[in-house]
Amino acid sequence: MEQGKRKRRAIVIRWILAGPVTLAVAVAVMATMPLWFPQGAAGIDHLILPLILFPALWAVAFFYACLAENLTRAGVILIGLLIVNAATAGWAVWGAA
Amino acid sequence: MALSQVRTKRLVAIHGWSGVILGLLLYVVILTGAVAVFSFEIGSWSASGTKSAEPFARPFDETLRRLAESVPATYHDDISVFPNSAGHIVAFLHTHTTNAEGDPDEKGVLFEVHPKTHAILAQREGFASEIFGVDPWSALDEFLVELHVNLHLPDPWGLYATGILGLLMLASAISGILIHRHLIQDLFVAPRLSSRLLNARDRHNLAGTWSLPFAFVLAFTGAYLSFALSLGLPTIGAVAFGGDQVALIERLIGVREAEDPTTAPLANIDGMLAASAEAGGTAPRGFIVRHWGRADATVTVSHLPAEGDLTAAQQLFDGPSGRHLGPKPGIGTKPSAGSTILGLIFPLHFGNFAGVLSRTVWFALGLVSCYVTLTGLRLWMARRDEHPVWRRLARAVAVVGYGLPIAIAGSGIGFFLSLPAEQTLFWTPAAFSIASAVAIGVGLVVHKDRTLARIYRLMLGIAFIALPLLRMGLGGFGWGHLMESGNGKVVAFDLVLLIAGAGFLVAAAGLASRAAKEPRAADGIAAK
Repeated sequence: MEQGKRKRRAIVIRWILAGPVTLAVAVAVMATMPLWFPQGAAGIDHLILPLILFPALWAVAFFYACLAENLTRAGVILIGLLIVNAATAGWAVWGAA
Repeated sequence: MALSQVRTKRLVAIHGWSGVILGLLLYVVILTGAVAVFSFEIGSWSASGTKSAEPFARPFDETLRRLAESVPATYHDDISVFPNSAGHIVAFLHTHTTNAEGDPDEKGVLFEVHPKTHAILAQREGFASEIFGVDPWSALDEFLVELHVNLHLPDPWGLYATGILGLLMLASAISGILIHRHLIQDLFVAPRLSSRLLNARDRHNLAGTWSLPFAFVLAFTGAYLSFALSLGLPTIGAVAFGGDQVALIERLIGVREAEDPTTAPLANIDGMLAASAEAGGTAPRGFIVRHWGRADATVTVSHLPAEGDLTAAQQLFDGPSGRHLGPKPGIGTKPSAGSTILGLIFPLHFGNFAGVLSRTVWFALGLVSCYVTLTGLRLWMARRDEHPVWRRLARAVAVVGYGLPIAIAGSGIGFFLSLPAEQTLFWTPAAFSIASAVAIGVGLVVHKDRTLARIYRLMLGIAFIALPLLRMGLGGFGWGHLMESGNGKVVAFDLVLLIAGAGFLVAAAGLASRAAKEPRAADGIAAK
């Protein structure tokens, strides 16, 4: 009974991680990329490549959340990435003002 | 690297659920996308051909100056000139600003000019979001493209929806690649004939394997196109430009950094178009004049990809002197990795890198992807046939699978019937809704799968044959005139529709004769 409950809980957590959390992680990483990505010869690579790479960022996070054996570690890594990137992007938007 | 059993099971679940959750909506986006590959031709066909194959064959300089003098100087910021699907030259003299919703928009005057006489056919003033796509001749192709791009949902929700669908398709494609143990072998598998279910599964795998790379490319580029405008640009604009999206767009477009508002007349545009044709290798398809009448004016001339090239080229000119400054990257002022990669996104998504041939291949692969989506859904339902919810969903797959092309053909019928009264903007979507309602109604009333499939095929056959007849019968040009005026593509389009219509009628008759021979045969997958 207890094991079934734990299994259901793990499935729900995995769905949350693979659904809204991976989408939020991809948006947050894309948002901070202009701050550290090389600008390139024309000074636009740091602006356009985050947009182009957005589906790839999501796919990496999504498949990691789906396939990770250790769910706790996956949760810590994804949510950690989300917090660090969201805080950096937030600082760039509001902190400088 | 071998995947563990648990991971393989999870990948199979991702592959199945990503299709089941939004499979029918995905089918709508893929089918309308396959049709939208030919949107320019559909526009040209619905307008009974273009007025001129080369829009700038007649000198345009004098006409451009006349148009520029007739609008306020604030609209001299940017002048975009390009042909529409009816062959008219569209000139949009505008400035960059924000609209009532606070979104970046372009405001100005739009002229439609006859390519041979240079007479002004239409003139509209306002924001680009309001004055584009409102002429009655473009209603059909605009409707189909909007259905594909944002499912006719309000901004930005439509783009979010198609973006999410793109990501789901990406998940389905990647999981499909990972769970295929014999990818090369599956390309040549012969569908087994021992049972209907196995045969259906083999055909799904065969079609799916061939279309996997295409599905991956389309899903990736489609997700980028949906999210870049709706989510990416505002986010990047906020982080890197303090929310100034206009500044971000100007950086990406690659406007000159040194401004010089001193008055200086523009050199002859026809001379620049001729020089660009020589440098670009193909006839110009359009051009943009930035800062008309100023010393820092530039002219960017765009071309279709030259023979053997994958991406379209642009040539840059100094406005006052008309001097050729060289090729202009798609974005930015210098060649860069970002510009090169972005330059690949468009031809890979639209399949327009080798003219009609590549677009026909893209259209065919789009239809294969539709087949994979629908058969995947049916296989999923067939395994859960005992549950009433999945049985009802299986019926929905048949209704949407046939109903969508019926509704698309219906929108075309509505377009032609309302064209003489110039009411196409209302009746094209209205006819789509009416045809959808009829298809859903038939699905609710008819209970036998095979009878339902026969009725749908009859409807499709009749609708496809009706389209070219209505085009010609309601004021459109006949085949003789079209061939003489160089519009053979319109005739080809008519023929494709007639052949497809006849094919559906034959397929309906085939189902009727099979039903007569095997009155008690199982329906379901066999009726595909």
